[in-house]
Amino acid sequence: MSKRKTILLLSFVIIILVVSNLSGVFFNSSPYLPDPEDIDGSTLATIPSVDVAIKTVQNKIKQNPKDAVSYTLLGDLYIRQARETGDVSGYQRAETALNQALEILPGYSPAGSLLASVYYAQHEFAKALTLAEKVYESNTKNSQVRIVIADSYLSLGNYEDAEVIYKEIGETNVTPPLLARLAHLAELKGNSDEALTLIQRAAGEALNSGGTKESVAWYLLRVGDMYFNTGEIREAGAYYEASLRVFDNYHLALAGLGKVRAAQGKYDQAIGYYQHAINIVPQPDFLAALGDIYMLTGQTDEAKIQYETVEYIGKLAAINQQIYNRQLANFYSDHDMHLDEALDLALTELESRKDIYGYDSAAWAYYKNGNYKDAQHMMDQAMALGTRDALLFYHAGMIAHALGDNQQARNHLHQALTINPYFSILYSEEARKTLDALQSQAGG
Amino acid sequence: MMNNHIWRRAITIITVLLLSLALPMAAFAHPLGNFTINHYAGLNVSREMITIDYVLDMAEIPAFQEIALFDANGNGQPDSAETTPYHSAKCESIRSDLDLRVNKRSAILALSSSSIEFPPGAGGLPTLRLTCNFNTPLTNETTNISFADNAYSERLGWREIVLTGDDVGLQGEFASTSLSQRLTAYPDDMLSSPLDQREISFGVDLMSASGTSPAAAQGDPSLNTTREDAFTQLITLEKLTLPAILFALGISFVWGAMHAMTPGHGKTIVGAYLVGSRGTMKHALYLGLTTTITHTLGVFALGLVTLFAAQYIVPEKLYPWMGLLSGLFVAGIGLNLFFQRFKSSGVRGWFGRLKTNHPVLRPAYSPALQSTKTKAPEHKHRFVLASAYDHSHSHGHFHPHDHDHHADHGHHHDHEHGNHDHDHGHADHSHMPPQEITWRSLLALGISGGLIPCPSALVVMLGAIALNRIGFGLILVLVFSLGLASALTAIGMLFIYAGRLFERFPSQGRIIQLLPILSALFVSAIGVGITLKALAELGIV
Repeated sequence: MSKRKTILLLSFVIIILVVSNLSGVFFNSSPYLPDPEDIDGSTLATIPSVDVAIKTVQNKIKQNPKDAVSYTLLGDLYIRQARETGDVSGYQRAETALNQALEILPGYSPAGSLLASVYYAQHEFAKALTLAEKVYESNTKNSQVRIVIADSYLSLGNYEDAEVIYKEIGETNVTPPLLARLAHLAELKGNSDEALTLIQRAAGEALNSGGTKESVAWYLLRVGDMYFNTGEIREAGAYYEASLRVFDNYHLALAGLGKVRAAQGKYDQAIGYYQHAINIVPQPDFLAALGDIYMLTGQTDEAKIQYETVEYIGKLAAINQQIYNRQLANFYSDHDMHLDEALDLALTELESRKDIYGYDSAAWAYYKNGNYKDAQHMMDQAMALGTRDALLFYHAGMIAHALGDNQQARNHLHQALTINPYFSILYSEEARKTLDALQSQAGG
Repeated sequence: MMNNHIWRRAITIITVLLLSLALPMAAFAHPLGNFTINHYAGLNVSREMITIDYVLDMAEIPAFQEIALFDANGNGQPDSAETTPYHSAKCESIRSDLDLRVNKRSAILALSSSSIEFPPGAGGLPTLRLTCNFNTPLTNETTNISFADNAYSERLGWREIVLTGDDVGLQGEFASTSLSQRLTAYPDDMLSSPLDQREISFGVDLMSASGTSPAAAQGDPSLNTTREDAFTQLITLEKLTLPAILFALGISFVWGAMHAMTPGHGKTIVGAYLVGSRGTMKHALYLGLTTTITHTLGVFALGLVTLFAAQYIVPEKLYPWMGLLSGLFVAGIGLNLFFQRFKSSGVRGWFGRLKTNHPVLRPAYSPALQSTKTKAPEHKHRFVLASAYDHSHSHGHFHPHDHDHHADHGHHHDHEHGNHDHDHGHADHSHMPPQEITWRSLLALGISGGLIPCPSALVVMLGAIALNRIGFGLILVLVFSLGLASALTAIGMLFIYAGRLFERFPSQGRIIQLLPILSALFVSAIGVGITLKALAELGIV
């Protein structure tokens, strides 16, 4: 072998060594995610905790009370705090801070766009849309506010306009937040595979670009949700665990794990996860789910306390804001409580917010009130996008069943159980039984 | 599932709600929201004992859950028959969550009294206010006490610990008055954050009658716990007295120097190398000056971008592009070097001459022997190995950002250097003026060394702008940059002397002679790696 060949060979060995050394970085940072077991968030930058950041900005404002930029930053931090802690009163603080910024510097576009997103977070979608459009008019370069506009459209049920804006932004600036929205849109339109790919890409990019731990954990949570919704509960569990590793004591991930364990029939573990989540934030959906598990395992007293607390929070929140209206309506319908009030809540909510889940909520309330015709009418609207959500199909199936359309009922219930056999610890079993009855009826 | 119990509860709730709508909103507000659980512990040390005045304030939702636990008759109301056994039992259970240590040994608290109230909260709904009084005797040997409140540790809430003494000496950082007036009046302005004091530790002198000497009484003690790093903290110095400024400048300088020394700084070794290889003290100082100026300007520029253009450009979005740019740069330089060296090796029968160890090829570092042809490859080798090592090092520390920009510094310089080789390489016998080469390379090196602002410096600059202390911030950043540059220069000087020592050893062996080519491949491979990584971050690959 000539020397030159030896040298070349040696060179390639070295190249391979170097590249394989670096590959740990660039192969894993493909748009998709590493195995959930390998995600722990240790690569994420240590951004100061939100409390520390808030104190720092507060001190800056104390030194210079006319600092609109710092007030805006403070508003932004309060939004982040509300997201991280699940304490919705953070949005009210954010609103105050942002209004202060706008008072000092009227028309300051970043403050305006954040304020619109605060309205959005407080479920004041129409208000959010109006403000966001005003901000966008004055500053068409603010892509942040365009996202708020599209989000508001989406929540108000205007899917076409939302999609147009998302796609337009996506032509120039594909970020994890945008990907998450595209994923949600795909999910609504029944493209589960596309939705999963998009949300995994969003999570992967968030992980690699070093977002806050909470934001990365949220994307991972959404990956878990999408797996859960297609019945792949083992994967869902793995991603919820990854989410929890990235952001300690993440209440949403704890509740996600509770949901997975309940679906797996491991009720003790499920109760443990839900209790842990509730210790951190007593969110009504956590309490309702915990109550359901207690009910299922015969611990009716425990269940009752949870249910009563849900009701209490719904009423308490109604004094200040509307965030839990729909959740409360669904909770009442699901648990055969205050059914006329459930219908009232659902219809009031639908007036201002005509998205598919608004129609679903109204359909289910009509069904529980025995008004199957109107339920059917609402349900048609709820399924107009072709969303592959097991719960929607279950509702549609039960409504068809009540109307005596057994063929349709069989199809819908079968579809519900095909999409996700674990869709609800309350209703999966009911769906199975009804379907069996219908099938034996048809067979016999 | 529906029974009378629930109906009764619902009716109660609705009645309360209706009533509350007619009333103006209650002024009482929790600082964090309606599901918080708030804690106050007032510690008092006397010569005989320590007492703890403990208050737990539950906002509406936890109060509702708690009341449900002891609401035996199910009327949704806390009746005195229910609350009397409840509050002492609850205090007993809280007791196990309190960790009091006297002289580091766990002390047993005794519950002396307890009480409960249900002040109306939002919408007139009840909140829950539990008060427990604990105490434990102290002996004369007591020298230090620590206390930790572990109750409801995961739930959001205001957590306050206050310490007072009766005729005893107390040492440590603590507040002696309650900011919230024992959880009755939470500061409600936007500019104060809820306290989160979960533990306290202090020294005790039972025989001293000098009274308390709280180090941080009245102030907001929580501020003392938000220290980030010594440098970024400087900008928030309360009063700018002369000693304080001098001290701040000293810290800035040291911090800058330390920053240059941290692993992952290709620029350190490259800079050191360039200076060490052919430079003089003058070169070293020149390099330091360039780096200082560039770094200061860089911090200013990026600070302004962050301040005024943040809505158009997300700073984090810039990093992958910087990475891509530097990756392409490095790969290009590496390939350029490789082809150049490989070609020249072929044309000139390079391999043949290796064997003979021709005297012309013997590495000779002496500036007196001005044969650039023999000298340059050796240079590259030392530089590249150093930076490759440096590279993998920073890599191992999960420092993707550092990694990128320092690689950039290092190889950027090589680019200049390589170009120079290309231009003059064939002029075998021309005696090149080393000054000229060095100045040009040094300028590039100095600029690339200071080009990308260090994050700490950026934080200081932004803080300075926000606090309207731009002048002070500029000086701090300048001194920081000077520290950075001094460290670079100092290492450079070290290398100048070390380099002179090395001149005496003739290097032998084939591998060493092959290294110029291998090093070029190394540079290329690293460049390709950085490029791919940046592409992956941008979501293109």
